[in-house]
Amino acid sequence: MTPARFQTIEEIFLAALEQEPDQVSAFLDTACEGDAVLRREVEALLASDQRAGRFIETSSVGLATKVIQNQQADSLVGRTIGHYKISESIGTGGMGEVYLATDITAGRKAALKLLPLRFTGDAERLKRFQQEAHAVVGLNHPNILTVYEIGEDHSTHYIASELIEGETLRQHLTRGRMELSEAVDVAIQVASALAAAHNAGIVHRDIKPENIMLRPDGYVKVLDFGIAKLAEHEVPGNDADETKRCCWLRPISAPYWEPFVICRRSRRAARRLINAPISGVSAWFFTKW
Amino acid sequence: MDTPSVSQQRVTDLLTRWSEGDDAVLAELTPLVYEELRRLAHRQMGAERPDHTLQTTALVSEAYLRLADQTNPRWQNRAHFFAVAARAMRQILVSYARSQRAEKRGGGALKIELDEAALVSPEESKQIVDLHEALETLATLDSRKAQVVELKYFGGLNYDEMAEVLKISPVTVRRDWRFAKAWLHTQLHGRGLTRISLIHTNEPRACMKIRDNSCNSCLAFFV
Repeated sequence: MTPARFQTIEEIFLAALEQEPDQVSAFLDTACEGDAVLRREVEALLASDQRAGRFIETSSVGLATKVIQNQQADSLVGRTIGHYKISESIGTGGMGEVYLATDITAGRKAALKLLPLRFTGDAERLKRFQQEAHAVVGLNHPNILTVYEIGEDHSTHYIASELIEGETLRQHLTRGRMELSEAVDVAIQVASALAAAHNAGIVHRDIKPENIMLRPDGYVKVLDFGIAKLAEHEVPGNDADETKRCCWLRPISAPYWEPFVICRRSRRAARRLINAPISGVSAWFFTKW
Repeated sequence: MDTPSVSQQRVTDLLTRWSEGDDAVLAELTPLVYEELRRLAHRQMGAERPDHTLQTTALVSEAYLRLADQTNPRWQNRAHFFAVAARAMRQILVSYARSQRAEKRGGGALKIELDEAALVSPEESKQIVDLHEALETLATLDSRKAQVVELKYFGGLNYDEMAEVLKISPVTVRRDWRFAKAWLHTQLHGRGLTRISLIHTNEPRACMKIRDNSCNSCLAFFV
């Protein structure tokens, strides 16, 4: 394709648009002068013109704004936050950015999650989150990601936790089905983590394969306890009516809701049932295997 | 209040030079605007408005007020500023979408997945990257049409503003848009032979077998 050819196609295309519908074919016969390939190209474009509808009509500036909002103002690599020196970015998502960092005081590696400002801007919500997060710091269970510290440095809120090598259950599942015995092993470890958390009065709120890490040595670690709480009641954007109807649920990952999260009315009642989250996990496992 | 990191005079100079046709200055201008957009976005997300949804137009306008010298304001400069912002926002989105897609393919060995309250859905990411790449091809065929798409889709400009930036009539902008949209739609959503034949007009029949975005017979790659 040369620019000249492109221009020829455009001229015929625009002229064809001016024709009455039943005249287009005859017009193309004349305009393309027997060049079948040229004619096919123009016809394809005319068909696209009919079909395109809203294609790229909605500007992406809203998306760009969301991305800008979610990113940290500057690259943080090399900087020190609290007593953590950041060495590289290891992940990003709706809930913030995660960095590989070194705890200068303790001399160990850590994962540092920085919470986006849009989640921490609400003082009340942040306070509730911090209360729960501090409870998670107190949890000591082999299947729960050990949180070292919840901190703040110049209004940057962070969660420092142990660094886990391995992959998420989601990544693992994309490579194929798991053996039943392996799946059961993972399920037992996840259930064990949730049971321990529930005994301490902590609800995960967002159990799903992305929040479950598999270590090479077979240990399963559940991540992100209580973080979903921070995102609750987030005011939806103006882009989707669907999210407006259920805005209080929006940040949570629908297919894996624990039952009491699904039904707000029954939440208080379900909280009293110690095995409620376990049924959520089992529901999820039966859909997977 | 913090101040912009570059002098207003410098930005105004660059804008003026660009509006006079010096495309080389764009490489210097875009990162300045990009950085300012990010700084402003963060400053505006203060604690006082947790439910804040930033209005991009307002954001870009404020960036313009801060970056460009207002003593001799010219609408033309302002329109050009929005054009630079469109380029900056394209870069922001494309690099974000690419990183999302890289992660999806399991790019990092050591990585913690975060909540998937994704900012940009996988479909949107794919469309953004595909569109970006198709636009690069379009720019080699007709750079003005590629610019129209960039200004409208990535920058949110309307027809009059685009006409101002591109120094063409709004009618021409609309024509450019209609053709570019049809062409891009064919590139991104067209099927088989038609799609390939736009690229390989000499050997349309050789491109019947298509697998994974590439033509099996002639090894051509879809754009």
